[in-house]
Formats: sequence, C-alpha cells, structure tokens
Amino acid sequence: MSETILYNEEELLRGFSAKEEAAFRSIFELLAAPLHYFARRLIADSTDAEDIVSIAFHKLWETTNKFESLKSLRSYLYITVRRQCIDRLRHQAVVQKARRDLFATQDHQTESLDNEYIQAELLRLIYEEIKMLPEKYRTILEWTYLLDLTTAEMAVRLGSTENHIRADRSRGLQLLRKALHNRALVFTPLGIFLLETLKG
Amino acid sequence: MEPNYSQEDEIIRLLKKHLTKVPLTATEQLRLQHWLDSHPGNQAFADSLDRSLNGQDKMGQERIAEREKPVKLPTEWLLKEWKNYLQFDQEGIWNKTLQHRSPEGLPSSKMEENITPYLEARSKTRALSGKYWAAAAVLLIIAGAGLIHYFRTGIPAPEMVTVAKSLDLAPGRDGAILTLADGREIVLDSLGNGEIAHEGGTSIILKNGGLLYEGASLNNASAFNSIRTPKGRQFQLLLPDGSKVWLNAASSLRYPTSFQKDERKVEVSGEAYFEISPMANMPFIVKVGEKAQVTVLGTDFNINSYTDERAFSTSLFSGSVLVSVGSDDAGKKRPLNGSVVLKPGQQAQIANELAGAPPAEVTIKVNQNIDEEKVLAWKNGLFNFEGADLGEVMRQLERWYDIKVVYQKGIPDIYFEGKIGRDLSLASVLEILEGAEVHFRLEERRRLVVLP
Repeated sequence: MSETILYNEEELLRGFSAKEEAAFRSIFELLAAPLHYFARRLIADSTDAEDIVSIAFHKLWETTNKFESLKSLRSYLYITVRRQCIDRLRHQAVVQKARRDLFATQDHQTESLDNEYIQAELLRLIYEEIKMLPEKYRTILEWTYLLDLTTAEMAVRLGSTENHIRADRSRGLQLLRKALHNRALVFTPLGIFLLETLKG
Repeated sequence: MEPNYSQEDEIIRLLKKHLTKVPLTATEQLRLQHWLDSHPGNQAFADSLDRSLNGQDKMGQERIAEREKPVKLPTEWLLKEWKNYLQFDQEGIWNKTLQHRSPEGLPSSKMEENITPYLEARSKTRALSGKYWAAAAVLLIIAGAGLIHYFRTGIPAPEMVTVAKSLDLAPGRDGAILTLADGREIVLDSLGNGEIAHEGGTSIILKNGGLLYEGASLNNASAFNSIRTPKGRQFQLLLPDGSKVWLNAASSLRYPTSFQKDERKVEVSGEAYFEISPMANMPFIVKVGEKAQVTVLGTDFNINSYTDERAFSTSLFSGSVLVSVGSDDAGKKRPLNGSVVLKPGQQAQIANELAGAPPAEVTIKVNQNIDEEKVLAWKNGLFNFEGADLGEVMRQLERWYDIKVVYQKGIPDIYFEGKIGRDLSLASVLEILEGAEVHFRLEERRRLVVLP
C-alpha cells in the first residue's frame, strides 16, 4: 500500500544542485511556512514578511554556494531572512521601543542565540509530525485547531459521537508525543517516512 | 567559515529530548538550562510546549473551541499557534519568488510541466489545486483528505490594508490668514513677496513666507492684527519690535501693529515658538486665553497651548520667563501663588483639564532638562516622536495633514521613538508607522481610521 517515495534528503539536495525546478519547489514547500513565521516574529508586517521570504528563496536559487547538506541550505535561508528583517527594522524611522532588543542580539553575536530560529524550527518539526499522523487523528486535530470546530460540529460531519471525537483527539495527541519521542531529529520527515515503509 | 545555526540546532535537539522525557546528560542539562536562563521568552516557550505535549487531556475535561465550556487545556498554546504558523499565502510567496526570476511575471511553462513535486502528498487527492481552498466554509463540506492539501498550502493571510494612491494627502506647508484691524482677511498662501496691506502708517510686507511690519513707531495708533494658521499650514512672522514668531498648524497670534507704552502684549493659541528681542523696559507678554500668561524680558521659548493636548506647556531655551496662571490685565509684576520663573532648559506645564477652575486651584508643574530637539522639532521641519504615545502622534498628524482621526476600537497602548520629516506625504508617514505595528485605513473626506 505504501506510496512510492520520490526522494530522500540526498535526492533532494542533488536535484536542487542540478537546478531542478521540482526540487526547488519541494524545498519551498517544506520551508516557506517556518521562514514566514520566523520573519513575522521579527518584523510583524505580513506583506513585508512575504516579500522577504520570496527574496530569500530567489537568492537561494541564484546562489553559487554549494550546499553540503540540506541543513546548511536551511541555515542559508534563515540567515538571509533574518538579515533582511534586521535591515528593514534599522531603516524604519520610528520603531516601537520593545523591538530594540533585536538589534542587540544581532550585534553581539557571541553569546546570544537566535531564539526566533529555535522556536520556528521546533514548531516546524512538531507540525511536520502532525502531518504524518494517521488520517483520522490528523483530521480531528486540523478541524479542531485550524478550523475551530467544536466536538459537536465534528461529530455531525463525521457521523460519530462527541465522546468518540474526544477519544480520538486524545489518542491523536498521544501519538504525536510518541512520534516526537521516537523520531530521530533529521531535516526532512520524509527521510523517516522512508524508514517506516521499509519496516512494513 | 560559513555562518550557521549549529548551536541553535543543538538547543533544539536538547529541547526535544527534554520535551519527550528522554534523560539528558549532565553537560546537556547545563547547556539547556543556560539557554533557558538566557532570555525570559525561552523558559516560557519551553514551558508552553511542555504543557502542550505533556499536559493532561483526559476525556471530558477538554475545552477546545471557545464556544465550549469545560476547563481550559494546557495543549492550547502549541496547537493554537499552529494556525498562526500557517497564516501565510504560500502561493502568493511562490509567485513573488518566480517574479524575481522572470520579471515578466509568469511562471515559465517549463516549470508547470515539471511540477510533480518531489514531496509526494500522502493522500490520493493531489489533483485538487490551489484556489479551491480559499474559504473555510468550503472546507467543511469536503472530507478530511482535502484538508491535507489545504494544510500544505497554508491559510491565506487576512487582507493587508493599504492606502490607495488617490487618497494620499500632501503634508502641510507655509501659509496663513491675516486679519487686519478693520476685519479684512488676506490669505497669505499664494501671494508673492511685497507689500500686501497698509494700515495706519505701517506697511505690511510679505517676504519669503514671513510677514514684516515696517514703519511702525510709537506715533502710530495701535491696531490689532491677527495671523491664523489653519490645519496643514505653518507660518513665520516678524513683529514690529523685531521679535520672531513661528506658528505651527492650527494656531493663531493676535498682536498690535505697533508696540506702545511700557509693554508688548500678544495673544496666542495653538503652538508657537518665540525669539523675543530684548527690551529692558518693555516686557513681552504672551497671553493664552484666560488660562495663563507668559512674561518675558528677552528670550527664546516655545508655547504649546493646544487644548486637545494634556497640558499647556511653555518651554524655555534662553533668557528667563515668568509663567502665571490666569490673566493679569491689570499689569501687576510680582509673582503670585500661581506663578513660576523658568530658567533655560525648563518647562512649565499647566494641566488642561483644570483650565476653567479658579486660579487658586491650578498648579504649575516644572520639568527640568527638556529635550530641546523634541520641543522644537516642528519648527525644524520634523516630527519627533520620542516617548510619544499613539494619541499624541495622531493629534500631531491631524493638525499637519488636516485630517480627522478616528479609533475603531480604543487607542492602542503604544509608545514610539524616532523622527520623521514633516515634508512626507501622509501615506509615507503611515507606512512608517505601520512598521511600528499600527494599522490604518485612510478614507475619503480626510478621515483616518486607526485599526486595533
């Protein structure tokens, strides 16, 4: 029943290095969300964040850098986005006082880490895991948190009872925890998906 | 060496271990604790995730959508943030990315063919594409599988409000309306340099955006003129004694065409900056309605008496002034209870809400070390918003751009810092303020709505 796995991490990197559009598109689909989230944490304006992310991907396409791993490619994207955000903030004549701490982090590279990156990436990993849950549980989580449906509404749509819905949601969260626990921390969940399928 | 995120990735690895209850080595614990302590947000973030992933979620105790009643669950943050995380227009960004590559704006057809992405969708509904998923309402009808695609393409962001070019407003400029003693009104905006009026032996000359009075002497009968700047205008004039006055928008000055006897008296409203020529036996008195008066010997000071600001302020830059509460037409010169002598760098403030109360109850507050640059920014062609709250910023914009500001949902509690030129169009200024997370809608008839 398993789908054909079209790529793993190496394939994706190789495809990208060979300037294959499809590989670029896949990288985009993996990282556009967390990069946009990351940019918005820094600069708040959604349209600007969109511009910044699109510029970063454009730069990725055009760069002559050779990436050793998807990990370094990902770093490149985050660093590019961050630099643009800080630039935009610097150029603003009027900033909110609360934002000034960002300049501090930028200028004292040594001690402080990029906390926005840590948050964006951790969330990316967790949300990717949710995507990987079995359909029944994933659906309930999506309907609950992305569409704000109540258990009553979901019960109606799925022809089930509220108790069943709640049980399934609990189970879904349990599976999520288990999944996070079990998975090794690699860049692409599909690398893991490959393993899963091999296990049968 | 190429900059990278290896340190951050290490923290992520440790956090993940911690969140999934995998034991950490002593070194790892130290490293993680150090990061948690390094910034207040870090511990909070870790705690939210911890509660989200490991919190109780027994059946019957969950509260999910706002509409349900039972107890609120710790899972909330992580999963609520999910929506925020997906709140972006993936296809929009993709299109922008392609546009950078080929400014003609269209993805090449070659691209479309190859768009069998490497990422295989896990569902069988891959065929359904983009625009279908715009409204959440549509999604409810479609079975769970359809959501996978929606999930992958993200939830389009709410519309960003922008200012249409046709509604943009030009900044204020020089100009004023002069009212002569006989009541004639002359608009000074578009007049050329030269004599514009003649009154009782005095020539009134317009020169380079300022007004001069020539021929004024003690012999001439005293007549009163007034200069008024409506919203969107500022003006500078030279009084008969050589004193200079700058008027900000929505302000006025009433003054005699020649100074008589032993005092020089003018009346002001709004905001004005004065550079008064020293005349030892003729103190210069600025009256602000019935509220206050400022007595000067020879000095540079700024008066801000806009009634919609919190307080009446007089700021002194050189010389010395006496600020008195109330109106002192009898010409007494000794300081009263409600008076204060200012030194340079000081500012006297009389709260506006107390205006109208009998003078004995009104107090004058003296501020030290005022920011001269901030007080006189207007005269120097700038807005200086250091430490200003949103209300103050909006009132300044109202006067300079001649708009009416309306708050959709109360005044957001935001403080600013920074300066902007007063010569920018309104849209440019709003764009800058949008960067500080304030949102607007500019409507017809010069109405600006501040969104929550």
